Amino acid sequence: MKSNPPAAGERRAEFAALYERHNRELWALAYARWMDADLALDIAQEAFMRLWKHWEAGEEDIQNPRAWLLRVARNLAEDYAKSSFRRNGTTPPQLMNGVKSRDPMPLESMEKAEAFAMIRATLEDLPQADRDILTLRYALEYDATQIADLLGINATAVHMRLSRARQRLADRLTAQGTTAIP
Amino acid sequence: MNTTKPLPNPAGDDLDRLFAAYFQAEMPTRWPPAPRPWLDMPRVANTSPKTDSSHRSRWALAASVALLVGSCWYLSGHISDGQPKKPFDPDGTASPSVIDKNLGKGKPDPKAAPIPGMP
Repeated sequence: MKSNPPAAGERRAEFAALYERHNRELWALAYARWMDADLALDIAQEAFMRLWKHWEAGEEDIQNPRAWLLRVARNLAEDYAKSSFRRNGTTPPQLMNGVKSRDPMPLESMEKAEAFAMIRATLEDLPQADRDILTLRYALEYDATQIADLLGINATAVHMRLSRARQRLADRLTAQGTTAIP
Repeated sequence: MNTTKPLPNPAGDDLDRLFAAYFQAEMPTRWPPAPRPWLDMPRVANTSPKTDSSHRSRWALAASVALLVGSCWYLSGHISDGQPKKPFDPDGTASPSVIDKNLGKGKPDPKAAPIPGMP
């Protein structure tokens, strides 16, 4: 059922509040899909832009903006797989061997960078569900209830999945000799 | 299943610290501010009033068309076959040029019809 649209100022405030609350969640899910922090930022921003367009078009009310945004972000992340950018295999210039270039790279950082590159490569081989839950736990530091709420599963499943995902990642990294921050 | 078992702690053992360090390094150091789409995208047409410039251009177009039609109508009433059309002259007070032009039209040629009894 449609209700009267809120005033412009009220709507902008609501938009900003939604962004503050959910921007990182959208980033985390997009990041877990592609392991690309900058692409994840773009996807999160685009999802919010689509929310605004949806409001402006006066389409049906969104009862749960968080769920709507998460769904749009997931779809955008999937759409990226079909884009020409992805198909052509172009590597963003800011990425090199999976290591971000924005930080200085003194010799003592090289080992850490290599370890991180190895984690990235290993994560890319893990199932999507593993990457989702690991990102929410270690990047956003969400607890089981928060993760369960976002992924639409119960807390027990969160414990089980996280434990297994962590073990898979640890096993593969240990097999490659990476067990701690260098 | 014991749901009270704590989750892996990002500050726990070496591997947890490694994972946490990796993900924290991947996260943006500065999150971009909320987009302000109301500044970037035009409003949807059916929700915004027509602008003044739109009204002005429409009025200018209407006035131009009216002027063009009026001019055509005016000129078609005053020009015929490339010559200016003269007003109706029921009492014969038209200018001499009109009389000269029509002189001889519709009348018999005096040379073509001989008069009986004349050489």
